[in-house]
Amino acid sequence: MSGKKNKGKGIMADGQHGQDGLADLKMDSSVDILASDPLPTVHVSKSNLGEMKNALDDAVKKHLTGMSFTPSIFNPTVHLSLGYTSVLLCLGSVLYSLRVEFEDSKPALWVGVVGYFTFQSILWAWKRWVERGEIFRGRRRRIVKRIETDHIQITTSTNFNAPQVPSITFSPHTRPSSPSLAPSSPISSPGSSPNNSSTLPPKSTTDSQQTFTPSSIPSSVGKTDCGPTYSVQLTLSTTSNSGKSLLRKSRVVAGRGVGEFIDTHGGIEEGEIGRWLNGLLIDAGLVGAEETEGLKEE
Amino acid sequence: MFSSEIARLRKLGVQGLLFQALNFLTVVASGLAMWKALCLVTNSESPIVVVLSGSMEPAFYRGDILFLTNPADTPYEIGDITVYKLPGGDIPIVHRVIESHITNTTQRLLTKGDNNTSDDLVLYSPGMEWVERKHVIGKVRGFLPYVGYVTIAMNDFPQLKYALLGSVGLFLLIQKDQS
Repeated sequence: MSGKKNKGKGIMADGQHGQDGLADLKMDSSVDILASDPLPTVHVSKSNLGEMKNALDDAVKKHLTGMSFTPSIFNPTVHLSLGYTSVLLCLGSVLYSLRVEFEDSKPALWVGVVGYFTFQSILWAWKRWVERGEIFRGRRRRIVKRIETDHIQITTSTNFNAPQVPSITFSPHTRPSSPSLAPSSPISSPGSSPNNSSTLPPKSTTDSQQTFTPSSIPSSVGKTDCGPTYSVQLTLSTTSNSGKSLLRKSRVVAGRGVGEFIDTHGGIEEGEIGRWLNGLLIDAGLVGAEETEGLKEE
Repeated sequence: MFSSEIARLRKLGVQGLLFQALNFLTVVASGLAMWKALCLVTNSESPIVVVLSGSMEPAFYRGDILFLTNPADTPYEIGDITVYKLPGGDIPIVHRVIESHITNTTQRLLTKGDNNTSDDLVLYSPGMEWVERKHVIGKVRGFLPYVGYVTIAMNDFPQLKYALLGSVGLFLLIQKDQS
């Protein structure tokens, strides 16, 4: 991770500050797009934030599926069922009313119209209070002397605030043995975190939550204007013993300007998204995330 | 021209395709549902009509849009402006009620256009002397002048309809190809 950060910092020192973020993304060699990244296949309109968010969500989902996470189809299934029920009710009753006189078709029309609006309201409530912006929920199994299951849930959103510094929260079940997660240096600059490895102050384990910034500082903190922020909340947990024991749980909230992932022609840079996600997953403590390709600096 | 579209659709996967189809169907269904809801609330099979002739001048001119309701339990009164459709005729007629008789089962009306010299008896089907309640689509509650000319133009010049549909479709296709 420090390699990636150094690339950002080092190039900042080269004096390429003065350029606009989005317009010169491709021409500015300080951007973290590697020459080995695949060419963008998806192109979106740069003026349409909804389209950009959908495309970025698709790239995130694709990357996670590529990391062997099996997506859960429960939420999409409920969403589609509610939607199709409402639509088919409405269309069915309208088609029936075309064949029959108005007076006779009135009961069917009442059913169709009221059913349509009811199911659409239920769908809206579902999207708002249950799905809540979640785009991916999945799990995968690893065999490390026993079967451990990683569960991941990603929620994304866009806003016009500056991208916030990423924050991680660990549940109290965190195993305290990871050297880079020492809570005694909560505002971690990258150099100091590995120092506090073995001994933890005892009161840290009674804290309900340990929150601190990760070692990967987003390079967009230094960029002048990368457009609206695409922010991601990632909840990762590991269970074993068929879900009965929770080994660890963490939550990462991070954001970056949209311009870091989308080039001047609207192409989505999936390599950059993958690297960012890998960084977040490492910070969240995903076992095996360090080994995924794309992290090693060329 | 379609190969890129087909490739794009294939990349979406089943779930993506279902979501796209649902989005499109929801747009269509919401328009239909709102129209049918209006029909149900006003109890009229066509609560918005366009005036096609000048038989109600100076109240309504050709090209005006009329808003109708058809209250089920209230009988129509003399002076109401009704829109009715004769059995076997497909265009609705907008005229005023000048006589009304209430029978056991229904209400019978005689109508006349304000700008016509005689009443509508000549318009009714042979043997029919009254307009019955079941022929009436509704009575006029409000109107918008001139707006209906768009519908009249589209009906009189079908080429306009196809041109409009064609340009909308072309615009959509062009938008996709840009990306």
